[in-house]
Amino acid sequence: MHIPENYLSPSTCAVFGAAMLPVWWMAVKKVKEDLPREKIALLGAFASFSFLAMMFNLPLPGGTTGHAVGSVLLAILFGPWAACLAVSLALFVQALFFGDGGLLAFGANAFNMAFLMPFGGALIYRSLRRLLPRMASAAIASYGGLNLAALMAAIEFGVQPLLFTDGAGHALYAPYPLSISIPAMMLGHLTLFGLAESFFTCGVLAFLARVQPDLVERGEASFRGVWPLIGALIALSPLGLLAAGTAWGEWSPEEIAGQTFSGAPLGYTPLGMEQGFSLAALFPDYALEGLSEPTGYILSACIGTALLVILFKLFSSLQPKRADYSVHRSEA
Amino acid sequence: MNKLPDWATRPEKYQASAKRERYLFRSLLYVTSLLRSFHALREERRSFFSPLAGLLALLVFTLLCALTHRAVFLLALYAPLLLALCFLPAEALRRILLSALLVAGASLLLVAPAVLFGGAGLALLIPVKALWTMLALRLYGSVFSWNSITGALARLRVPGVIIFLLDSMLRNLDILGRMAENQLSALRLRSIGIDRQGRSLFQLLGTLFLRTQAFGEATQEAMVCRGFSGAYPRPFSSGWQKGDALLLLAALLYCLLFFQKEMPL
Repeated sequence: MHIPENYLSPSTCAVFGAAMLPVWWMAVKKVKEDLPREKIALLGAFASFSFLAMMFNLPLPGGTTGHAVGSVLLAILFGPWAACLAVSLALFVQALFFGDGGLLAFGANAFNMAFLMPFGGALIYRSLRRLLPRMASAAIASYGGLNLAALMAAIEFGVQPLLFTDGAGHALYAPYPLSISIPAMMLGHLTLFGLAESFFTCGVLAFLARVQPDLVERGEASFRGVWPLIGALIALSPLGLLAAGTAWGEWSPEEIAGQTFSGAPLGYTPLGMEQGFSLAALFPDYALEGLSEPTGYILSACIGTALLVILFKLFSSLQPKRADYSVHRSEA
Repeated sequence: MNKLPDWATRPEKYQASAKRERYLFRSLLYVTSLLRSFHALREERRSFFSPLAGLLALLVFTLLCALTHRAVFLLALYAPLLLALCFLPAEALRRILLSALLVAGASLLLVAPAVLFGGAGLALLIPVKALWTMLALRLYGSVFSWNSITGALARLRVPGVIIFLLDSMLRNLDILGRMAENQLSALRLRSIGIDRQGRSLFQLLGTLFLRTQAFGEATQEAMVCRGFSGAYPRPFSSGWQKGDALLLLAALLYCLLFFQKEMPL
C-alpha cells in the first residue's frame, strides 16, 4: 500500500501533503497535551510494531504481495491522534532510509495509513465496543480500517490517468484507471491482507491483555512484555522475504511496462516515472549491499525499530514532567 | 552618637554592565558541569550484560569500526548500537546523543576540505565512525558504574597503576566538580551589587588547586593506613551474566562479517 515515488503527480502529492500538515500539527498538540512522557516513550515502541508489521509481506496468487499496517492497534491503545503521529513517523523512516514509499508521496501515504486508517478504525471500534467483545470489535475495526486505506490508495492511483496524460494519450504517472485499480487493490485487501491485519491486531492485543493488562484496560504505560515481542518480530522479519513478487502499484519503472492488468502488457513506462524525482535510500528495499537478504532485513528491522523508539524517547524527554495526583486521590 | 567608619560611608561605584558575570558563569560553570557529569559514572543501571562482557564487546566493535572502510559494514554496526540505546532513559539518551553529535559535527568540519576537494568517499566515513565510537563509549559509561568498570579492567589484567590513576582521577574530578559548583553558587549569592569576576575567578581556581593538593595527601595517607599499594585484586566471582553469551556471539558474528567483507578469500 506504500505509494512509491512518481506514481502520483507532484500536484497530487502537494495536495495530500498540505492536507496532512494541520493533521500533524493537531496530532503533536494532542499528544503533548494528553499523553504523559512515559506513554510517549511507549508510543515509540508501538510505532516500531507498525514498522515491523509493514515488513511482513504476504503473497497472493498472481504474484502480488501485501502487508498489515498496525494503525488501528495503535489507535485502540493510544487514541487515533497518537496513532497518526506514530504511523506517520514510521512511514517517514521507511521512505527516507529504506525507500519504501516515496518521499514526495509521503503526504498521500500518511493520509491513507496514518490518518484514514486509525481514525476510521477507531470510529468502528468505538461503535462496536458497546455491542461486541473487545477482540471482535478490534478484528472488525482493523479489517475495516485497512480496507478504507486501501480503497483510498486505489482511488489515488486510479485518478492519475484521468488527470495526467501526454500527447499520445499515455499516462504520465500511475497508468491504470479506477476500473482496474480499485478491484486490483481491494481483492487482496478484502481477503488475505485484511485478515492479516485483524490477526496482527488481535494477536498483539491478546498478548498485551495477558502480560500487561494495565495498558489495555486502563491505558497505563509500561514496557513489560513489549521488548520480547519486538525482539520476536525482528527475528521473524525475514519471513517477509518469502513472498516473491511486488505489491500492486509498487512496481519499479523497469517492471511496469510488462504489467498485464489491462489485458495486455502496458507496453510503455510513464514519462513521469522515467524522468521523475528519485532519492537513493541508505537501505533500498531493506537490503544492505553485499549482505545476504535475510541479514539485511534483520539489520534494517533493528535500525528502523531503534530509530523510532529513540525519536519518541527524545520527544518525551522534551515534555515537562507532570505530577500524578490520581494515586493520592484514590488512596484518600 | 558614634560615627560610621569611612569605608561604610563610601558610596558604591557599581555600574551594571551587559557582560557582568557572563564569562565566569558561562565558561567556568560549563567546565564544572562537565566535571560534575563524571558523577553519573557512580550510578549503575540494570543491565543484562556484565561489565566485562560489555568491555570486551566494546573493544571488538570499536576495533571493527576503526578498521572498516565499507559504509555498509559501518551502517550494519549501527544496528546493535541503536538497539542498545533504546533501553536508556529518555534524559540520558538525549545527553548522550547531543554530545556524540557534537563530536561528529566537529569531525565533519575537520574532514570538510577533504570532502570538498577530494570527493566524499572515505572521508565521510570518519564523522560516521566518530559518532559510532562516541555513542558506544558514552553508552558503556552510562550503563556501568566506575567501580564495575575497574573490576572489568582488573579482570583483563590491565596494570594496577593505570587503573589506580584512572580511578583517582575520576574520583577527584567528581569531588572537585561538586566543590567548584558550590563555590560558584556562593560567589553568585554574595556578589550582588559588585562585579569582581576576574579576581574571583583566580581565587576560585587557586582554592581548587590547594584542595587538589590536600586530596592527594589525604589519599596517600589513607593508602598507607590501609596498606593499599595501588594493586587492584581481581574479584573472586566470575561476574558473567545471562546476556553475555548473546553479546559475545554478536561480536563474533560481526567479526566473521568483517573478514568476509573486508578480506574475502
